[in-house]
Amino acid sequence: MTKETMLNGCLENNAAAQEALYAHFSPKMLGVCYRFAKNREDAEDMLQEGFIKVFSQIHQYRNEGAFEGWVRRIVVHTCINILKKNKKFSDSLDITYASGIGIREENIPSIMQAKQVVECIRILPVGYRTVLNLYAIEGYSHKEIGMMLDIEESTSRSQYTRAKVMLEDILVKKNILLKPRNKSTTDLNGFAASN
Amino acid sequence: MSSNFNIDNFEKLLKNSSDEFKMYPTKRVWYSIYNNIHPGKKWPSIATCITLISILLLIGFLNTNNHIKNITLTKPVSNTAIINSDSNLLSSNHSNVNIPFLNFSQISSPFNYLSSSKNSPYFNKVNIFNNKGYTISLKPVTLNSAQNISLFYLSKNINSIVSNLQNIKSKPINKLSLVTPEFNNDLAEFLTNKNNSSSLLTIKVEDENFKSNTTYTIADPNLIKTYTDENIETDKLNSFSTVTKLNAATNKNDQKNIGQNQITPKKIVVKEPQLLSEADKAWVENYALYNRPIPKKWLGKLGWQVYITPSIVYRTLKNTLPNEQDINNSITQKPSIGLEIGGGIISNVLKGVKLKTGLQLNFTQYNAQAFENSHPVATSITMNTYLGQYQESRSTPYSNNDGISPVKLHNETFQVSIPMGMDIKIATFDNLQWSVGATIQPSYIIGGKSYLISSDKRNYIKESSLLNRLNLDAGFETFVSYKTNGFTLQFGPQFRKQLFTTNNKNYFIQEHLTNYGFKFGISKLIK
Repeated sequence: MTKETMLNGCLENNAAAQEALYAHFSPKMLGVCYRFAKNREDAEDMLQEGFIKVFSQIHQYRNEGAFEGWVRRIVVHTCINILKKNKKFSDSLDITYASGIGIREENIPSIMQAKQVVECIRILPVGYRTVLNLYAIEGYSHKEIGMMLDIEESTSRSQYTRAKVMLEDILVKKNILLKPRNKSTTDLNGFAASN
Repeated sequence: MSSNFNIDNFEKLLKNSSDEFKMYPTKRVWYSIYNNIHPGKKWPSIATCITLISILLLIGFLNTNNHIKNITLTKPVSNTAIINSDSNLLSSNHSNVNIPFLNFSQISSPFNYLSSSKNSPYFNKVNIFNNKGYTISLKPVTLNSAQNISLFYLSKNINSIVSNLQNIKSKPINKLSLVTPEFNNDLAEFLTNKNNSSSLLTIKVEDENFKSNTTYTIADPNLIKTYTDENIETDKLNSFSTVTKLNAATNKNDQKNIGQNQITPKKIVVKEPQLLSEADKAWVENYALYNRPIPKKWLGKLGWQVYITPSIVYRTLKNTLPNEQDINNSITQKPSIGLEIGGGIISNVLKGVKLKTGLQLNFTQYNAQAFENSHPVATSITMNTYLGQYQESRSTPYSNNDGISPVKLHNETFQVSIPMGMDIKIATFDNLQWSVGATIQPSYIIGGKSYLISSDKRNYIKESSLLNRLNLDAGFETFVSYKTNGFTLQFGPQFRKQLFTTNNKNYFIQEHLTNYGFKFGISKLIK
């Protein structure tokens, strides 16, 4: 089924076309949700909410840009909205300095390739994880992240810096990343350029 | 990927890894999405639940139906029937009356049809609980016209009613008697006499010391006649024939206290053997009234059943890809033995119709002839989705056409299902009965093995993860049952068809199993 056929079917509320679209995009979108969620069940709930929005708002898609990108933006926004409903998420964004958060070697899962990196991201505290996901992976600017999460742009920058340092530490320990040439870049109190 | 990146490539590493990362959601997610965006098209499970609930409600309704024979007035009652009182109607000389009386205890919805008369000073509201729990108001009432009244005439000892009256009347009541002018020899004769146009029915209530007597009179002969026209059951009327000779006497006070449209009732006195004192009788019968066992209405209608059905399992394969040859010609396969064991409950809902449900364990098996090689070979299976076809890589040591050693591959499933259906009786010959039955069986596959044919039909791949966990089967059977010693043995052929494909619907070969079996069962009604 071509993209046009699938989209036209979804516009006509055709169940088969909707299922086809879901089957095509759901694996990747669940991966996106999983990076934001606490566990798989939460990720599936996010995916469900996201696709309900996709199907109910598909008439707003104007063939501008990739359809996958449009779906992905809706799913990401859905994840953020669900996370914002969680009080712990808001609290975690208030953490300015997270130097007290230690990474235990035994918490790092022994998995391979992409899943290994994703699982390492998921070890991060929820606030760090969210900002890192939005900035480094989803490509949002700190200004956009600030608007999405109702935080200051500077807070987003600092959160990302700390998240990056912490994740680098994890990845190095897991031997996924080479050790940095300059040890000072991993200083938790340092603010690396992260625009 | 390990060590291919350094800190400078950090964002790139994250981006690439995340883009490669995919997870496959469970079916629950899509079902939830579907139900949300198509609220009018719920999944079959909801329809199944509704059907099941409807069946249960139907069974409940049929099992709680009291089958009361309603008595309908064949013509509107033009006059108003009034129950009057006459406290002086009977003297204390007649205190030993114990005659079968007209029991009003089974008036359907009595309070809907009887309205209280505010002008009668003598009566208190009296609730009489008969053995089926109905109530009747003996308060002075006006019976409105053109309404349906049900009355059964029962031969019942009067003292049980009296004991109830005692709880309500301010003065203890000892007797409740029937007095009617035409009641000379036999109540049945009186009630069935259509020409008895001047009849009255009078109920007398006496107090404990026989000092005060109250008589209630139904003053409309047309009403009485109408009841007798429609409703008197012969066998129950015959029970009144044991009434001894009645001494009719007319009390002069009767005419004073009965309205102009009423006819003076005659007093009826029946001699009663005094075996127990009145107080003892009242206590005994009161105790019996309130301590009787509650009848279980489902007894005799519900039963249990267990059965076993060995069967031969066939399968049909269908290629979902276009322009493909018949898959059944490309493989060598043989039917095998299956088995069903189950038990459940059956319910007689109508004459000759039984509903049944329960739990059933199924074992299905089917064999494919193949060859086993010493080392696995790379192959693939084709998945045919709405978006198109794609191949999934697999490795397998099993070959379809040639190999080192022949091997028989057992495709098998273990299922648990909930059959729901009905049996209909076709014919009866003494203790033998011929019936047909049908069931729908939602099934859950607990486990099993599945050998899938590869895309090129050259190999078999053991792939149990593609088994459909939920499926639906339909069963049809005809059987002969034989009743002996309270049990019913049944045996007959059975046909069971699997409605959905055994494996994932995207797999390009659809498999449907068919069982031809012979059922042996035993059932028994719960009494």
